[in-house]
Amino acid sequence: MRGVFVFMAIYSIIITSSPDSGDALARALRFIDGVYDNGDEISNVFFFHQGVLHANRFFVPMGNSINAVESWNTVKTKYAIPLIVCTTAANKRGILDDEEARSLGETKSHIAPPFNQSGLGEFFTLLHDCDHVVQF
Amino acid sequence: MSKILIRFSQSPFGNALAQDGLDFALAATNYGHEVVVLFEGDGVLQLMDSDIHPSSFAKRLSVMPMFDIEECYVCMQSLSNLNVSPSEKLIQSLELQKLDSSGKLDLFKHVTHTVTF
Repeated sequence: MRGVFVFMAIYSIIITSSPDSGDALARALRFIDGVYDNGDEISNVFFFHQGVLHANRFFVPMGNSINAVESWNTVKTKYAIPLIVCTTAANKRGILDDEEARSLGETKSHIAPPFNQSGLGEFFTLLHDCDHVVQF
Repeated sequence: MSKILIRFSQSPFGNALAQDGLDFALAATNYGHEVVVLFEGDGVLQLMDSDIHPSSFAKRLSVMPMFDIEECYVCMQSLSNLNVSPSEKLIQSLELQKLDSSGKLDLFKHVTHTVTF
């Protein structure tokens, strides 16, 4: 299939900034739209370091800031890109994945769809098929 | 196989960026990627030996050769700007090479991806 679209580039996006750090989220969202407008494709969005805070579904956005979870929901619905959260980085910051929440006796974890609970392994496996990495 | 340049640009004190960057670098080689490491800006502070700080970051970095990270560079200008001399042990175990600006430009040309921590 890929041979048909000779000029199509595949991107992997890494988010290492937190949702409240300046305009990184806004830029990332615009970039993703731009990639698809250009006829290219995104293999995955990987949330690492402070970026895992994007996946916290208990995040309460204030008046004029972008709602991270809602924005990523839109991205997922529009383009069906896997949104991979590094659970090790998340747990370290009190953002519990299902497994950790269960072991602590919590009924609910912090990470819910559209985010996938995974790790560096999945990101690096997908990276083999990517042409470009862009970090926000 | 892609060649990933991992830039360490922040001090090891005050935030977890250096530690997360190291985790990222060590995982990359496990999944068949080649990793090149560059210390620049405040990142050169990670290379310092510390008698006061019990778990100096330099010690943690010394595992990199065991994870097949063989190309390690440090920005010459950043070392002199911050007046840092890297740990002697680390220079030897990482075979740390100093790069000037044109050396860094060459390095960027020869890698597939760049990620900054």
